[in-house]
Amino acid sequence: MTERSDDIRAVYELAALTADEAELAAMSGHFEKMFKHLEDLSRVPVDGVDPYFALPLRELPLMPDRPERSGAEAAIRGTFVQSAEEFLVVQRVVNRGGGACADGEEG
Amino acid sequence: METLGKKEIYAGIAAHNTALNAYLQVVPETATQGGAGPLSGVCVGVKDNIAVAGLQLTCGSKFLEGYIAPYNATVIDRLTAAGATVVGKCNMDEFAMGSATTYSAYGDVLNPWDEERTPGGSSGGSAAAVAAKMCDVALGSDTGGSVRQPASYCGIYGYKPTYGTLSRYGLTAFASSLDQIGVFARRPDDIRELMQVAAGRDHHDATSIEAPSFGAKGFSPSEMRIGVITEYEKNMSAAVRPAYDRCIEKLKAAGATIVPLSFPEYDTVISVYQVVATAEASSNLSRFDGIRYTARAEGCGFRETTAQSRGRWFGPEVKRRILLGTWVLSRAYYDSYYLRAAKVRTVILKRWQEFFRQVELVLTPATAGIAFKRAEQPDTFALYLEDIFTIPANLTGMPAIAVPAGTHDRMPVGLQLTADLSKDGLLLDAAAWLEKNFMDFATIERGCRHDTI
Repeated sequence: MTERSDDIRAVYELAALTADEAELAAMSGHFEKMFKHLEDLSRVPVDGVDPYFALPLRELPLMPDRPERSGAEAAIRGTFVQSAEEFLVVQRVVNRGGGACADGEEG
Repeated sequence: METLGKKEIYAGIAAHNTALNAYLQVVPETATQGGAGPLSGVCVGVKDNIAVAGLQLTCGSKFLEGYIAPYNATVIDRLTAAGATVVGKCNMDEFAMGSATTYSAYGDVLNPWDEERTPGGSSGGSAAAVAAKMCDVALGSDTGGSVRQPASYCGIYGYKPTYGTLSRYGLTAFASSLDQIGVFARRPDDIRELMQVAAGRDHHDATSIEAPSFGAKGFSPSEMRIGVITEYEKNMSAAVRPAYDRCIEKLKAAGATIVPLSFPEYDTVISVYQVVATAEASSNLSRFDGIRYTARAEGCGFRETTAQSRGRWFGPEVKRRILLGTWVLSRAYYDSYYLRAAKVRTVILKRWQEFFRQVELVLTPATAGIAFKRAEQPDTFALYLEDIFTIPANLTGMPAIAVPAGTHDRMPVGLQLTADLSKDGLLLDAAAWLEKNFMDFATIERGCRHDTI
């Protein structure tokens, strides 16, 4: 077992993936090639260059501090009911304020 | 927008979808009801990684087989509010990872021009559906060229807007800093009309931006400086070169100034992309854990259940990318790979920002060649190199469009125009000018017809 194969086994575990020996062997060859190709990156001088993790944020106005109706509810009710009705069954509504429950039982 | 009409589109689906495998799910004609609005009557194909409430959302993966989207992506809400009709969900490479739509868990998509060939990928189903007239326009997603490359292979237009122009809410995330929903159409004006209703800020997506202008101001080549990249020209294939040269001659004859540009980092874009995209994918795809959504393998406890489910239902290409992403984010490799790639990305961004101080548009090939035969698909690694011309627009967020530019060996050849951030209108105006003045639309039109080949 090469050092790279041991690395692959460890990375599989980190990535929460399982594999058999044949898959591990195939991946070993692929990653040998891949890491060789990635050596390209060292050809570009990057001293003093800031990393680029995300596109520059534009100045965005803050959203209002209140929930907004997105229209998703209407979309779900409009198209979902027919195909997966069981997911839209609403449980009984319980009034925690001490009054009667929606179905008439005590809260 | 000139629509084909629902009847012709459904007739096209009935005639061609069994062979082409472009749609994974078709909405029955009787269940479709478009509304009033600027897109009334427009039939839209939607890549199967974009949520349409009540329809399947498999992302081309067995992991999500049977999963029904519980809500609409913002783009879908906006298009349907404008009167458009979703006709179906389009086949794709699993989780948008691939360049030939051969990594779909639901079978290959075939190119309408030649069924032995790939339509490209990862949005191959959307491209084939538009080219074979099984919809008016289609949505895809473009993380490294997944709209522009298949558009080029199928002889249609494929547009990736400026990053943030179309909300990503409802798009299954692959690599969030690169992903952008894109549009396939047979005419550039169709793209413009769709963008006018679909683009703009969305409070569900913090990276979304105000819609830029989408043009129609006209395009005057004599006022344009068009950049061409010398490193690309040295490495251009015989399949693409004639169309590229003809296009430059046409622009020059119309008064455009052609400006040579140097992009010395051009061949590192694949490495930067592979590191950045896979790192982001390894994080984004961790949500597929066998607990939420659908498929779950038997395992003892959370960790084993998760690992067994992911090991069983992710395809080999998705695994390769998750593994590489996990690897380059691990402590021993982070500095040498992920951090370095992020720095090289800065260098590439600065290079392209400098280009747009010198020119208004950059003209390049969209792909290295024409669509390859599926039986002759290059190995995984060579397939990654297919995206060398398209990746810069994803790394920089800039808008780009693949335009049909002729044929080689009876297959379409595509070129690509790229513009500065938010200059999407200029890009669409230029594409419309090329359509009118450069492209032989009749040839493309005939070629697209699956039933005439």
